Amino acid sequence: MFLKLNRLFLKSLSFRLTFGYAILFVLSSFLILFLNYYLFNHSIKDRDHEILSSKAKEYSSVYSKGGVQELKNYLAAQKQSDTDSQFLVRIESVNSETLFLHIPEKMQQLSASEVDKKISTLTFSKNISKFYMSERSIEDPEEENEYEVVSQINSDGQRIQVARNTDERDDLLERYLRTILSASFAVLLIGSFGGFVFSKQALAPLRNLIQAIKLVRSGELSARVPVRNSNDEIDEIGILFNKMATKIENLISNMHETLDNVAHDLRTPLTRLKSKAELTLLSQFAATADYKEALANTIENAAEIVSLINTIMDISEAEAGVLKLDLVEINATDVILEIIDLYAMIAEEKNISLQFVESVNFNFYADRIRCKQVLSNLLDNAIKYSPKNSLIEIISQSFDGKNEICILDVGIGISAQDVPKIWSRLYRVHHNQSNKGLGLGLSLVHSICKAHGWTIQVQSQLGVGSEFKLTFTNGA
Amino acid sequence: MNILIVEDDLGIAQELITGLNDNNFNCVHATNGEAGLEFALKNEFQLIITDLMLPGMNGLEMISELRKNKVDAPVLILTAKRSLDDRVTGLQNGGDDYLVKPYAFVELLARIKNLIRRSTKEPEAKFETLIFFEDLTINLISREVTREQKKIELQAKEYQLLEFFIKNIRIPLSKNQILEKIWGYSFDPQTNVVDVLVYRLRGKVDKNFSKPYIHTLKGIGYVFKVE
Repeated sequence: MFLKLNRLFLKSLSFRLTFGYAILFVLSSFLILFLNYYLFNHSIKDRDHEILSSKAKEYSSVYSKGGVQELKNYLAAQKQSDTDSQFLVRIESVNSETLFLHIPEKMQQLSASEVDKKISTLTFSKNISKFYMSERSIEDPEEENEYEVVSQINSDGQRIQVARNTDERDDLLERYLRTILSASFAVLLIGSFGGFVFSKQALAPLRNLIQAIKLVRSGELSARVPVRNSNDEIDEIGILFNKMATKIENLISNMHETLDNVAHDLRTPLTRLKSKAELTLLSQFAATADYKEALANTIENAAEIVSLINTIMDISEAEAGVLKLDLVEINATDVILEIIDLYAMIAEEKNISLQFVESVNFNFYADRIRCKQVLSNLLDNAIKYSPKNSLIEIISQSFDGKNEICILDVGIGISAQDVPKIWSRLYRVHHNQSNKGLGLGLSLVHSICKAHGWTIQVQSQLGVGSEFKLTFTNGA
Repeated sequence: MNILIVEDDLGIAQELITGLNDNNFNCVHATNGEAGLEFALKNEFQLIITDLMLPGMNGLEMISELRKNKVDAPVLILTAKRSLDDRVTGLQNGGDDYLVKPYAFVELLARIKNLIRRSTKEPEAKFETLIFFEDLTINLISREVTREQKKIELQAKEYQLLEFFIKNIRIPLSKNQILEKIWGYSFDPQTNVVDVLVYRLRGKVDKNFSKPYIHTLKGIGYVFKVE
C-alpha cells in the first residue's frame, strides 16, 4: 500500500513538474503565436488601407483632369488588370449627391442603389469605414461580405471613396490562423512530452535514492547511490547519503565487534567465578572459611565484570561520538601531580622514580574524570612495563604551537609491527599473569582522546623504552 | 530510623532490606512509584531509597511529586543508569545522592549514614584531640601515633588512612571508599595502590604488636577492629 502511494507521489511530483513546465512552455508559445497573428492582422489591414488610399488619390487626380468621363474611361481601361477590377469607386459632391459610382465587372450582381445607399450613410473615422452587403451568390445568397471603404476629400471639396471587399484578406488570415492553431497543438504535444521526459530525468536520482534507502532499511547496508559529479543539489544529497550509509555501516560493524569482544571478555571472570563456586559446593571438606572465600571470589570477579562492561561501553560511546563529556578547565600541572600522587607508592614498590618535568604549564578543557583515566592508564602501563630502579618522566611542554604531555619510560618497549595494533581492543603484547588489568586500557585511552579531539602517538623500541605523547588541540 | 525503599526488583529489594535491618534500620518496601509516593506522603521517613526505572510512575516523577508536596526527606537514587546525564538529571530533580548498580553494600551504608546525618543536622563527631583504641593512641592535632607506648612514624597518606580507619571502627570500608578518601578519586583506576598503602600501614601499626587491628574482608574491603 505504501509502495503504491509512494509511486503515486512520485508520479504526482513528476506530473506537477510536467504540467507546470508544459503550461509555461505552451502559454508562452501561445502568447507569441497569437501576438504574431494579431500584429500580422493589423499589418495587413494597414496595407489594405494604404492601397485603398493610394487608389483614391489616383482616381481623384484622374477625375480632376477630366471629370466623370475621364474616370470612366480610365476605369474601363483598368478592368483587364485583376487588381483594379476589385475596387468600387464613388464620388460624392459637397452637397452629398452621388456624382459617380463605379461597380467593377466582376461584381455586377451587386445592386448599385444598395451600394450607393450604404456608402453614403457611412461615418468615417480616420477616413476609413466599412459596410456589409450580400453578393447574392448562388451558393449562399444570404451570406454577407465585408467591404472596406476609404474616403478622401479633394481640393474641390468632393469626396472620393474607394471600397473593396475583405474576402481575400479574410481568407489569408483564416489560413494563417489555422497554421497557428496547428502549431499550437504541436507546441502542446512537444511541451507535454518534453516536460514529462525532463521531469522524469530530473527525478531519476531521487528514485535511486529512495531505492538505496529501502535497501539500507531492509538490512542491505552496503547500498549506495550513484554520484554523477554534476555538483548540483541532487548530487550533494547522494554524496551525503553515501557518507551517512557508510557511517551507519561502520557503527553497526563496530557494535558487532564490541559485542563479540564483550562476550569474550566476560567469559574469563565468569568462568573463575563459576568454577570456584562449583568446586566449593562440590567439595566434601569445605568449611565456613572456604565458603567465605568462594563468596569473596564471586564478588571480586563480579566487580571485574562490571568494570569491563563499563569500559567497553565507554569505548563504544566514545567511538560512536556519543560519549558525554563534562568539560571543565583543567590545569596540566595540577592533574599530572594528582596522577603522580596516586602512583607514587606503587612506583616506590619497584623503586621507580616518577619525575615531572614542567617545561610549560598550561590549561585545557576536558572531562576531568576521563582525562585522569587517560593519564592514569598511560602511567600505569609505564610503571607496569618498566624494570626496577628505573626512571619514568612525565613532561608537559609546548611544541609547534601545541601543548603536549609526554610519558617516557625505559621499559620493555613495543615492536614496530605491534605499534599500530596497540590501540585496538584486547591487545596486550606480553601476556603477563602477574599484571592485573586487561588489554582495554589503551583502547579506552584512544577513544577518550578522539572524543576530545586530542591526538595520541607512541614511539617505541623493543627493549629500549616507549614515549607516549598526548597532543592537545589549540584552545582545548 | 525508618527507610522507604522503592524498588520493583524483589530480589534486589529483599537483599537491601535484610542488609539494612542488620544495621538497625526499619524498612518499608514499595514496588512502584505510585505506592512509594503514597507511603511517603502518609508516613515520615528519615531516608528514601529509590530506583529510577519503575513501572508506571518512574523514579524521577516520584521524586518531583514528593518535593512538590514538601516531603524533604533525603533521597538516594539507586539505579543501573550510569551516564553523566542521568546523574545530573536525577540530582536536579530533587535527589540528594546517586549510586550506580551494582554497588558495594558498605558504600551504600556509608552514604545512607552520611545523608541521614546531614539531614538531621547532627554535629560532626565532637572534636576530639586524642583518640584511644585499645593500646593505640592517636593525637589528631599533632598526628602522633603510639601503640603500646611505642611511637610509630607514619607518612602522610599512611596517617590519613589510619585516621579514616579509627573514625570507622568496625565499619567495613571498600577500596573505592579508601581511594576516594585518601586520593580523591571517584573512579577506579584499576590499580592496587590501596592494597599497597594498607600493607604499609599494617607493617607499621600491626606487624610487631600483639593483636592486628587491620583486617582484610575479601571481596568487601578492609575493616579496623579487634577480632
